[in-house]
Amino acid sequence: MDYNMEELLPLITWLTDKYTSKESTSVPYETAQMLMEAVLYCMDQNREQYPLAAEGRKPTVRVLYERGYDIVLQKVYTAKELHEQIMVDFEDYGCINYRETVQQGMPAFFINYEPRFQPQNHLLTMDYPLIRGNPDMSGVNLILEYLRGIGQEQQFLNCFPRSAVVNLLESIVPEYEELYLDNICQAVLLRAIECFIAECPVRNLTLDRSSADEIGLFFEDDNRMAAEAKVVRLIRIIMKQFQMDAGYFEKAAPDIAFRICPKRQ
Amino acid sequence: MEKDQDMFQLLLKEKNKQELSNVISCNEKTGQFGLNLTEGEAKELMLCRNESLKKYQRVEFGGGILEKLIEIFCDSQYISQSNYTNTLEQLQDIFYEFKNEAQDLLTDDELLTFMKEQFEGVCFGDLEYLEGTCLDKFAEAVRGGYRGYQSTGGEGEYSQFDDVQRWDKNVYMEIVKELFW
Repeated sequence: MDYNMEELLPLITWLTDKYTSKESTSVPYETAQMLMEAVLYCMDQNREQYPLAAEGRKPTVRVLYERGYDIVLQKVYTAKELHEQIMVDFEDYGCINYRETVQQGMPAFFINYEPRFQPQNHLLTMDYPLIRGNPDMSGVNLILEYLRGIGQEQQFLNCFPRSAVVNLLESIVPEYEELYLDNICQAVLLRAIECFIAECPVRNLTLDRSSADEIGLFFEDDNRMAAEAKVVRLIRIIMKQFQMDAGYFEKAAPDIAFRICPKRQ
Repeated sequence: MEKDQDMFQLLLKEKNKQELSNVISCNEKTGQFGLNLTEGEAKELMLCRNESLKKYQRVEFGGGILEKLIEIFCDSQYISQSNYTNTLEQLQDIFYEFKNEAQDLLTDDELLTFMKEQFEGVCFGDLEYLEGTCLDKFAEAVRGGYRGYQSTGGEGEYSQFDDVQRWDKNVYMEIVKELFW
């Protein structure tokens, strides 16, 4: 910490007064803890954006907090804009978990989020996972990062005909609308890689009878590391074809490599 | 969690410095009712307050409730110099207990108003009755969704929850008959 507890106390007292509208001189431990976390969360935002070393004179705790609070607000606006952009042509492929998390859950966040008193609380469980798992963050940071991920995944999914994605999901779980709880993009990317190896049309997301043998041969002598490296290369090639940045999707390579050739792990 | 405990301890330390003189200065007002606190008694009250806060897992900021309690209860007909400190100790403990019991839905003023009114009224200065009956019923109603106190500020609230029959004409008449007939 760049500040001590004595410096934080007046700020926490001020925030508590604001929280209780000066109508209560005491609060439960949990509330005090929540407010302290709120202060620290905002100050951390500020530290990420303006590292203290870069500043000539050490700003007061109040200044650090207020600047951090402004950053939190800015992130909320950015997240809201991003969500609106995603919703313009959002396709859920009939997957209820996906729809409920992104289309129905997110607006609840923007309505109920409390940047002043609980900026660290993102309110949502985000049951639909990102392809590389949900980020280990909290509050608006998590929401913003999650939406960025959803945006990139939608962009990738839009490269495939809706029917191809739906057929693929149906082949995994016949009642996928209700029962498919994984990331859609992961299934699509996995199949796209398999199609690429088996020299089947990638956009169709279908394999033929000999595909399994070809995929097996492709990874025949590979250990886990080698298989992962091959998957990363394939992701880069596929993303290049779709004129997309591969960086986001590369992090899913270990999981995809495991699914393609689990025996090698 | 340890860090949180540190914060709460630090808060108490900071508060104690300012509060002692504030509590002593209340004597100026309470003196007219024959009530005075010595520095030792004020310190004892603050110690008890800290214990109550710990017991009910609460943190107090700013001026604290002790001064408000003194201000509101100093004109009570049931408080004299002999029971002043002891009553204040219990009142502040009850106060924090029922802030929790009412799930922090009552403001300080609403709770204090309710407490004072019952203390002077149906309790006749009985703190056990205030705690175990009046506040217990009121807090139960608040937890159950009752919000009428928001418009009354806690005044005149208890009668609707009071299920004790305080005047029984038949019993009265029986006693009168026994005594005079």
